[in-house]
Amino acid sequence: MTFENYIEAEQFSFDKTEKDTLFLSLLNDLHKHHLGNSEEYQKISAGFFQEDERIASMADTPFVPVSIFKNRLMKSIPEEDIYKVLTSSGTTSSVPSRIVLDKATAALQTFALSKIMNHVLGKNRLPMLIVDSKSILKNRKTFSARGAGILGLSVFGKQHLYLLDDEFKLIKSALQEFAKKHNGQPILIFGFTFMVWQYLAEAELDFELDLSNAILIHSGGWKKLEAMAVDNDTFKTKLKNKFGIAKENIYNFYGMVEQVGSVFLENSDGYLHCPNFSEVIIRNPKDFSVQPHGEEGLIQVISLLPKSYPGHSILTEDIGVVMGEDDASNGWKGKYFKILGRAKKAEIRGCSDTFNN
Amino acid sequence: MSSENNQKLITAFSTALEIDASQVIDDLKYQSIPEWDSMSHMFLISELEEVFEVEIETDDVIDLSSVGKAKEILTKYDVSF
Amino acid sequence: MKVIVPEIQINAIEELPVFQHTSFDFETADERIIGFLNEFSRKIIREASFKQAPAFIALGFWLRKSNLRSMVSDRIQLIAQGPFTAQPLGTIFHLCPSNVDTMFFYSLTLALLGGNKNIIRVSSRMDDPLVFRLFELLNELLSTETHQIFRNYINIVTYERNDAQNKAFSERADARVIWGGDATIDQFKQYKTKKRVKDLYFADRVSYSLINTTAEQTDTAMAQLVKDLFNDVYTFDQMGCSSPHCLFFVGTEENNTTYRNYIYKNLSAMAQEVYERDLSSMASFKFNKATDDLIDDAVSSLVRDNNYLVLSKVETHDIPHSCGMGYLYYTSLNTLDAIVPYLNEKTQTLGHWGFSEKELTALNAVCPPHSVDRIVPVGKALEFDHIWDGYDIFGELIKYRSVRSK
Repeated sequence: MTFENYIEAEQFSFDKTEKDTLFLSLLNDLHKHHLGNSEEYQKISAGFFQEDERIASMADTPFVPVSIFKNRLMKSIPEEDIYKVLTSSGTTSSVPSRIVLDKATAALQTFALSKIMNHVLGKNRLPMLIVDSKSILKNRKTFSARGAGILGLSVFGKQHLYLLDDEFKLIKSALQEFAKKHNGQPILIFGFTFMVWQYLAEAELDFELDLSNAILIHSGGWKKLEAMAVDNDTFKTKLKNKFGIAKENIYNFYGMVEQVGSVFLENSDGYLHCPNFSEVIIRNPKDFSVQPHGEEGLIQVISLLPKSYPGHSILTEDIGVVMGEDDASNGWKGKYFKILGRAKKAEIRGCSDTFNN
Repeated sequence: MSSENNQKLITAFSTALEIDASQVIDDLKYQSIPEWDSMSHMFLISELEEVFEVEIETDDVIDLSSVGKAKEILTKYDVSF
Repeated sequence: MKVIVPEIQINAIEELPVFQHTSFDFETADERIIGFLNEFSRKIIREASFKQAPAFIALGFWLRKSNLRSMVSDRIQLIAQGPFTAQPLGTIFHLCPSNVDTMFFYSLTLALLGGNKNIIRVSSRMDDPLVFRLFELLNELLSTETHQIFRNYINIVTYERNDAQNKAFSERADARVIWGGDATIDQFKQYKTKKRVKDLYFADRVSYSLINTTAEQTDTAMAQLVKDLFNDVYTFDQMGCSSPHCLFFVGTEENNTTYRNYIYKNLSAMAQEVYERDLSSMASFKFNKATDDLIDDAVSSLVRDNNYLVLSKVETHDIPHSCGMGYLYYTSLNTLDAIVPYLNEKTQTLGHWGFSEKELTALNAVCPPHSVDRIVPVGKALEFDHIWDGYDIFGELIKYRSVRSK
């Protein structure tokens, strides 16, 4: 099967056998491409993994550390083919990742996102409620993963309404108007998980907001909510009870700027699901061996799409566990997993640790 | 005098190593029992110095590898057994 | 600012006992000082909560009067011969690192033996309950009638990073003992000090180990080598300035490879058993470092079966800084003197294993003068020597007065 045919196929349609053959064969093409075009990747592959041109099985796929995109400009294309460099700024204290895209890979990025989103949203662009403040897009300094997420997702909606003003206060009047127009209608809601909780789920409204046909997509992780003892089920139940959002229409998603094509959407069992063109492998931190399903470890993400830079196989600093494969209750094929959190960074101190750092 | 010093030595060993006095025989060797490890050895040296009012040199600290050897070394510091 | 020892509260630094008490009461290596420290030694060694804490027992052992006397005896003899006498330098400001919990007391002891008054700033990030127990024991001792005079000689303080405090102490100190590396040194060099201030700086350093693979060794000796390497490498997460960052195997290629493989297998197994650290951090730190080194061509290949230990074959004389937690560079040398190109002013400790006295004498002779401050057996890299980074700390912190009658 050609690459084009593979990525055009309906999402969540390939099972383990197909991933082990079709996916692996395309992955090998990509591996070979990066070996020949990225000296950095070649050195890591040979030096750390002793891998040659052919990867025998998915488990043998070399990976690069996610931090490498902060420290180096990684690319597998000539300078003149660079179309844009994506950056994730995150917080001010951390160095941003830089991701080199050529036109083709940039197009694939858009393609991949719409392929996955269309699978749950359908082809029509829906009126969209964004649980954030527009100011987050204005200020270049604070333009962050949150801003990028909002911009990326907003193409799937229309008549966008930002729910919060510049002071992060709920704009009740606008919401009331939106409710008048769209109550009970299909709409798209997007926001960061803790924002959705804090500003939507916990909102005190003196008018009816009927979201029974809404689809909610949220991202950003559970860390803040966990501290408040809010888990996925509490989150969904509250939104269901308050505004009637169907639990099966609430989708968490996990992705990272460092890997084009890795958009993991929540399936009907509440786990993050690998799309056709991505895979996850859980690595035992003890020796990087592959963990069996059910055992936690560092998450390695693999995608067939990054061609302009060697980011097709990345070891993240997130801890996760594979919960199953090919047997999700909504019929989606592929592996699904959950994230347990970020690997804690052990604080190690040198003799120079007195005042500084 | 000598039996008194012998008793002091036995007490010092059993205190430092936290073992029964009956275990303190000339043949008892460093690291031959789990109680006499490098940590308790330091306690032992400190205890011997205190009890016999001596100051043991570094070379002797390492040399002191059995109860019998302890007597021999302490004799050098004018403690008679 | 908080005063930890003695337990007092102050409003201004002038109220610290070291500043309030103006006389100096002790001779160099005064019997009362030795007696005080020896009593503290007894307290530490007998303390139940230190039973499983080697660093604290080692400190207690080091503070025995026999050891104190032997450290200062050469210098004392010299002074006794005259024609000069020794006096304390005055008030010493010590800035101590937070990674080695007991370090401050070594620094303090050597200054106190000279009869000096001491302000010790310990890191506000210290969090080991055992250190606080050590402070408690010290406070107990200082509250006895016999030893209360030392309240004027030992003031341990802590404060968050604070320029004003650093300046105030720097202005008043007769000597500053600055542990804490290059950045801290640069910072303290900017402060105004007394004209005749004496500074001891402990800069960023790096240490290595040399292993002779030529001699036949017994299984017991090999097992001990692994234990000793473990202590040197994994204590303080390999982040102490005396922690080895590179292993040099000295011998034929064949022997060196055999040793390398033996050490990888057994040292990583030992780490797996006893090195209790967050595994994901251990894995990420090493993986990040290894990929960086490979890309930079600093290393050519790795020995790695698991993430407890990585041995990276180093390809440059300018050995990079390890990320710690069991990431070691290594290379093969045919002869001992082939070490020389790797040595520079940053080199502090060379651990050695399997060499004869004669070989070590030869090694000492070829080390460039500005490099290498210690050549010690493997297993003793982190043992504190009273001569450190090339300084005889005790001797540096006394002042000599020539006295001639004619």
